[in-house]
Amino acid sequence: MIPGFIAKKSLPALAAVLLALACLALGLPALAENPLGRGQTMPDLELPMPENAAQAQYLGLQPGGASFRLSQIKKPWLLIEIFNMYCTICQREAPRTNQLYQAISQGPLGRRLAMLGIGAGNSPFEVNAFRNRFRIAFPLFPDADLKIHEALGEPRTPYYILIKLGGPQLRIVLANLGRFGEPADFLADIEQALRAD
Amino acid sequence: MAKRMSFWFVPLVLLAGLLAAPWAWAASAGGPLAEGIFETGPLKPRDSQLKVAVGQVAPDFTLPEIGGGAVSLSQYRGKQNVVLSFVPAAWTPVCSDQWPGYNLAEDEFRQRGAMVIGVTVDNVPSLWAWTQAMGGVWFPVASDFWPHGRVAGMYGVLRSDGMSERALILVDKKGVIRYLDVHDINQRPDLGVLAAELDKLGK
Repeated sequence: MIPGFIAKKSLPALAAVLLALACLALGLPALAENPLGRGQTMPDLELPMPENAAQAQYLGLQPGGASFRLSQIKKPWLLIEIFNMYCTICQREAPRTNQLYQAISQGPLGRRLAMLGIGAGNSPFEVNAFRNRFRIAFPLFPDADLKIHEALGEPRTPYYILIKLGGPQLRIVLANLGRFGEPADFLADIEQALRAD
Repeated sequence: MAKRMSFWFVPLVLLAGLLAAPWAWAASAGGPLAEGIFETGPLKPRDSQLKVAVGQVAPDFTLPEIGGGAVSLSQYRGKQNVVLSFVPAAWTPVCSDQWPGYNLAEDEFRQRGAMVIGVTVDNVPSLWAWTQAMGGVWFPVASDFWPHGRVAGMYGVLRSDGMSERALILVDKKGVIRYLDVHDINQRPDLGVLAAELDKLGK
């Protein structure tokens, strides 16, 4: 039954290798979702101009126009949260994300770092429902057709990316998939990434 | 001994690494709900024939509810508009997002004088575990498990595989069907569309 060239004592090792290869094959679909990460170039996304003038001002955008690009934001750094109103983790993280925003906007980073959220697969109504429920003060934008989500490599949510604006290309300097833990700890990670860059 | 260990080292490291990589990645954005989801893959968008229509009185039903009692459509007659939310099955993609979204949008429903009744063909224990993983839900969740899919069949939203469609049926205070959406089972209906339909009814 067993070919003679396979020594009997090597069968367990061979089985382990075959099992490992099977696991690799099964794991590939999950790994195929490959979100953009640290060191990669961030697409210069086009987003609708915030209707709220204060939010346009927060991003340093000139009023008027239907849309803007990330590269037009007048701050050197940008933190984006990719969320989904239907995602329970995003819902549970919303208060912590608000705390993070408060810590950033009221601290020394406030002038240099902007923050915004993009609702993957969410319509404007759904984004508004998320905003209203959690009283989110930073700008949120819909991505109903998931085009932005696809451009970012279809990350699970929530997904946080810290981007260096300015320069010929936008560059991701920090990425966090899932919960970020304590806001103070994540803020420390952000500050470290800014110092290292 | 050393030779024996080196014999095992490469395949074991390979095995451990390959086992750990996808699961660690999946868990990083997960939680009890996300980690329990069974990936169905794409399904036939629609696989049933409606037996009700807009303008018709919605067939009444009484089903076991996850709280331990029962829920009837008629108990809301004259009191509240009702959104019947049929979803295909517990622990499946899209369904496991849809009701957490309705949880978040509780105020949107209440402001419009509407109650949601969630319905699936799962049994009560499965539904209870699933909704607990969502953190609980504010609306009644009915089990159309036995006789299997009787209510889904009555409305014409029972699929040939025993699951129900992803369907939204809006019933006004008089018990009349005012809106029907048998949605592509693979996609989540936009809450904004449903809210607009509720707005047409008034409180």
